[in-house]
Amino acid sequence: MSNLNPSEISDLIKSRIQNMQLAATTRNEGTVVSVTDGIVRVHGLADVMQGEMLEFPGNTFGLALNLERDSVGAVVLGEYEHISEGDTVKCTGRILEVPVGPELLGRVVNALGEPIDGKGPLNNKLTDKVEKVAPGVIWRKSVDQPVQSGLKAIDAMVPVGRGQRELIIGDRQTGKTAVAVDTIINQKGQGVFCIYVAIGQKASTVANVVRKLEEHGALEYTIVVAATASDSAAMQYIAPYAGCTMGEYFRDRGQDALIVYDDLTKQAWAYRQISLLLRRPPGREAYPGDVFYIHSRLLERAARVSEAWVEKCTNGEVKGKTGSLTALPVIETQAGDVSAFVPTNVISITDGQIFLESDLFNAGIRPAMNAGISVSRVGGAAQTKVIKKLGGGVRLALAQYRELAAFAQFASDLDEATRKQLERGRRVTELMKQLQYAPLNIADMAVSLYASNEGFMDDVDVPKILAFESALHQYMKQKHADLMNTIEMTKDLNKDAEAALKAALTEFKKSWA
Amino acid sequence: MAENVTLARPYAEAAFQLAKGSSLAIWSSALGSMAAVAGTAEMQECVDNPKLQPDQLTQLIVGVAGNDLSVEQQNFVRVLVDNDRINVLPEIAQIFDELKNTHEGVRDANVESAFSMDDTAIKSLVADLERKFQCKIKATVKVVPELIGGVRIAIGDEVIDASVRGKLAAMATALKN
Repeated sequence: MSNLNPSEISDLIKSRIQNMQLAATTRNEGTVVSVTDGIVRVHGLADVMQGEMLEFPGNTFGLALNLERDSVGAVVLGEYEHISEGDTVKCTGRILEVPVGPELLGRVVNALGEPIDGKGPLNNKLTDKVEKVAPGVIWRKSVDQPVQSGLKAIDAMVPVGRGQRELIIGDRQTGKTAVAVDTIINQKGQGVFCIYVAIGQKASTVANVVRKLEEHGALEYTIVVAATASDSAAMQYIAPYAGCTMGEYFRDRGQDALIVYDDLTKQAWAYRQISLLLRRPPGREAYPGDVFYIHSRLLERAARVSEAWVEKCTNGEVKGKTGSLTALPVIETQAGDVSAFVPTNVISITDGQIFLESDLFNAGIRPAMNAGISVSRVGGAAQTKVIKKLGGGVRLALAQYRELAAFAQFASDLDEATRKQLERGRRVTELMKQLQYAPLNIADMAVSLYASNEGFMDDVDVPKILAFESALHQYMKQKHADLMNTIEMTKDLNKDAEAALKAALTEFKKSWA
Repeated sequence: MAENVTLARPYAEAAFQLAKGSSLAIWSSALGSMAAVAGTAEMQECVDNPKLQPDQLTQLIVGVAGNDLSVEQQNFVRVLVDNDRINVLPEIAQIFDELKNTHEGVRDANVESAFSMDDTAIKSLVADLERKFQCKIKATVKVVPELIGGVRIAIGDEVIDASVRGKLAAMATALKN
């Protein structure tokens, strides 16, 4: 415990004593019958509600999950070792709530919203329910603004819009977290608040992510919700909903937020553990029957909402602004098996997926995205104009390349057109590689794509493509800053700009030899 | 593994339906004594003893519980023995009493008080409770000095905590969160 501020604490105590309700209240009570791995059976509690918070002795809380005829099955949030048979359990009449608000930005909290970063109390003014119903059809708006990930491969081929749910799926060690973290880093100055929910990860991995975010100045607009592998299954299960509630705060105030659930496979495991201990019947892969619902209700809360909804949520304080919560759920597959239960579920819920493959990763193609099966079902409408204009060629070049590459291994002499397509494909594949923590802005991305489309890279050796690209970016920044600014601001490439860009590229090609 | 209460419920309901015809009070006291008998360690040993025939076990329970058991009550024990459910007798008695109370519009109230209460105080408390719960209240008063002050009333699962100890506990929870 560091930096205890005495005056602050007294104030806190004072305000709490002032706000305390000490009238005699009628409360429902029950008795603990059994405790098994964080699951408690309670006798009594006749009036308990599903999902209600229960109070155990020792300042511990739990959630009522199973309401049966003669007992209630509840899950303890946090430590459960001190709870024993015969303890009294009280109903609280409340649903679990977590702190929300801008005070959480830059902080690392646990699944209950308690700070775990040693930076003192949150001083949040508001709390909100963990489980909420997603906004209905009437309150929604279509996705038409982009979230720039800063990764060429993703922004060009699988664009993500604000309010979209785009799945990041792949085996272990394929760079799933890297894609998500790069996207968070690229939101700097974009007015998008980020929430990174770590579920069932090693505490050291979470610490690394937090440090990287801090290093790149991304933590100031990010909330990290951590339910590490050492936390109880209940905490891992509840963490995504807690993070979502924190994100909805921004969405409902006409702001934009991005939430990363890293990863939902572990959440499903945690829920499976809870369900089996609650003696719910197991189904496929021993998951309970409602494992689809835990993910669908979570991801449905990521949405773009209309001005009317924002106005309703803020009681008319914010007018004429839409809000959005973009979700990037992560799913870890086992040995590339996307037809397992949880991956198929989440694929069907989301608006597209980014497939990351170990073979590509090991071949040095990073991000290891498989362009053939990665899609974005709604992002096209939201894609930045200039990237849309220039990125179309990339997809086509890669598709043709994949088709020919296998075939070309057998054929020794190829006709000119085929050879050209192969060469182009090889270069585009190389160009799509990108270092971690180095997201590109729109103008740089546009220049790279334009150079590739217009054949400026056709005579550059494949291994030198990335060097060519970075030299080109340097050159453009130094010599044509105005042009780059125009592209960045207008997010479009008009005729004049295109001509200027072409001239600049021709000039650059002369110097780069 | 079903819980004992779940196992006991059908028996208690069956007994209650039977008793409604004759006398609830007699059945209640009979079940109470049967439950007391079944709860003893000696009887548990007999129940677990494989050498004891069902007839003998029935006779044993009926004999210990008292000779004034009616034929129906003796048959009830017989059914329990046949189904190997003698060990849920305490729960059966409890559910039976609950059913009886609901039928008669009475609820049991466990009143815990820090100090001993005189009759007028208890009467006014019971009157207040009867108004609140819209039923007759059968109060059992117990003196619990640990409450420091005030009373704590438990009616079924509902607990009205107006004790100093309860307020201190509420304050502690509020300060810790």
